[in-house]
Parts: sequence; C-alpha cells; structure tokens
Amino acid sequence: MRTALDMLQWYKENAVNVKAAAKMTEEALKEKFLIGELYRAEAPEYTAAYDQLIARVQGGGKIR
Amino acid sequence: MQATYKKYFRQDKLPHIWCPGCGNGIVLSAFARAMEKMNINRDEAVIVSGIGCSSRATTYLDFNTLHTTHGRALAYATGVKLAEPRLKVFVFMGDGDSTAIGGNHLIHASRRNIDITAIIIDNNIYGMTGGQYSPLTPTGKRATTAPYGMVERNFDLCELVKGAGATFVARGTTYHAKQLTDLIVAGAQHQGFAVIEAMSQCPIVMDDVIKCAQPWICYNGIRKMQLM
Repeated sequence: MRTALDMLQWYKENAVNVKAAAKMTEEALKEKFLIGELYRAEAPEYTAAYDQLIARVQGGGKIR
Repeated sequence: MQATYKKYFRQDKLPHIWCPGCGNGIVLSAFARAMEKMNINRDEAVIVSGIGCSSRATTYLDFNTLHTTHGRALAYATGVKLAEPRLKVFVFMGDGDSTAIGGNHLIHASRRNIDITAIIIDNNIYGMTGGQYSPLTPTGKRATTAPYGMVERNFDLCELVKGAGATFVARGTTYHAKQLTDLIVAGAQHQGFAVIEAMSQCPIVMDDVIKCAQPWICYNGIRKMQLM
C-alpha cells in the first residue's frame, strides 16, 4: 500500500508548472502532467447574455 | 497562531468524515484561504455540491450551501446563478460526479460559459460510493468494477472542458496547496465558467482497497473500513 505521503511525493516529482514546461523538451515532459493556469479566453457569459435578451424583449426589441 | 480562514468552516460539523490521508481537507483549506484572500462575504456566495467524498464540502463550509443529487450540482448551480446573477457560485464535485454521472452538465456549463467556478477534486476513483472506476481512472488501474484493470482510456479533464467551451481552465494538486489557492482565486475572479482540477490523493480506496484482484475482497475491505 502506498501512503498519502508517497502519493504527495508522486505529485511533487511528476507535476510540471505550465510556465516551466514551455522551456522543456517533449522527452523531458514524457510521463509528466501540467499544473497551473492552462487556458484562459473571453466569451459571452450566459447570465449576462440572458439578461440582455430579457431587456431587449421587454423593451420591445425584435427577436432575431 | 489562529488560522483566520477557520471562520469559513462550520465548527460544529467538524471533525470531518474523510479517511486518514485523504487530500480533500487540503483542497478545502485552499478554498477557504482563497475566500479569505478575496475577502468574500459569505452571504454573497453559494456553494453547491453533488454526492461523494468531495461533496461533503458543503457540510463543512459556512456559506449558503446546497448539497444536491449525484452529478447534478452544476444543474442546481445554474438555477441559482440564473435566479441571482450577483451571487458568486462555487461548485465542488468529484471526478466521477462531474465527468460520468454529471458529464452532460459539465460540457453544457462549459459551452454556456456560465459564471460559475467549479472545483473538481480528482482522486481518480469513486471513493465514498465503493471504489468504482471513473472516467478519470488511469488506464490499467484497478477498481471494484475493473478488478483486473481498466481497459478504457481516461479523459484529460482540462482538455475536455476547454474543448467544450470553458474559458478558464487550471490544474493543481494537494502537494502544491498554495498554488491551488491562487488558482481558485483566479478562477473565481474570471468572468465565465472556470474549472479547477484539484488532484487529490486517495490512499485508502484508490491505493489500498482496489489493488485487490477480486471484487468481494474489495467489498469486504470497504465494509471493514466503514466507508459506506
């Protein structure tokens, strides 16, 4: 049985920060996993889009 | 020194029921520290969970909380957010809860880009419900439902939600607890659907019980440890 400590040690040894990974070779990253902020994008948010729709309809706007 | 984030916990519900060595407490303290960093008003935040080890978070955290049904936390959270968009909504889920039973809710919350922060505690297994494999159980690992090893390929959770439309995706571990706090802060401040995969060790079910080759041995092991 592996202990909790063994498992934490595995995280320590196999996690690679995404910023550090950018400077590493594919070979060095083999069997590793990335941690950190992996992706960020901008897109319309659902409740805001819904509120806009409600305002448009209640304001007499046309539904396209 | 008194940890100031302790005010975010319901002291009368402690001690927790998690197994010795479980990482869920580390994730929860990372979350509480994130709330402290952001100076979150507890009345303006809602925490929603489904079923499983991770979902006990709503028992211990002293916020507006909603402990719901298996896999449906995001559906409830969507209702809360639509009804009161001013509220900060956080969802705690496990890997089975979010990607198997609740997989459909996960991809559609991602697609809608609803302003919810989902913290998915990934221990690679269904813990509380009996050691069954989840879509995040690595290929070849044993589970009570795969006593000779998992033949299926596992999801890459972060790639899955990114592909489905989530606009903030991050991964942390219980070893990197400080970074996990920062990732939760960044996710909560992002306008849109944020997913933070918190990898967490499960030394009891994942690594002790399910190494058994025979399901009934696993079952007896779980019963013996009173995890049900």
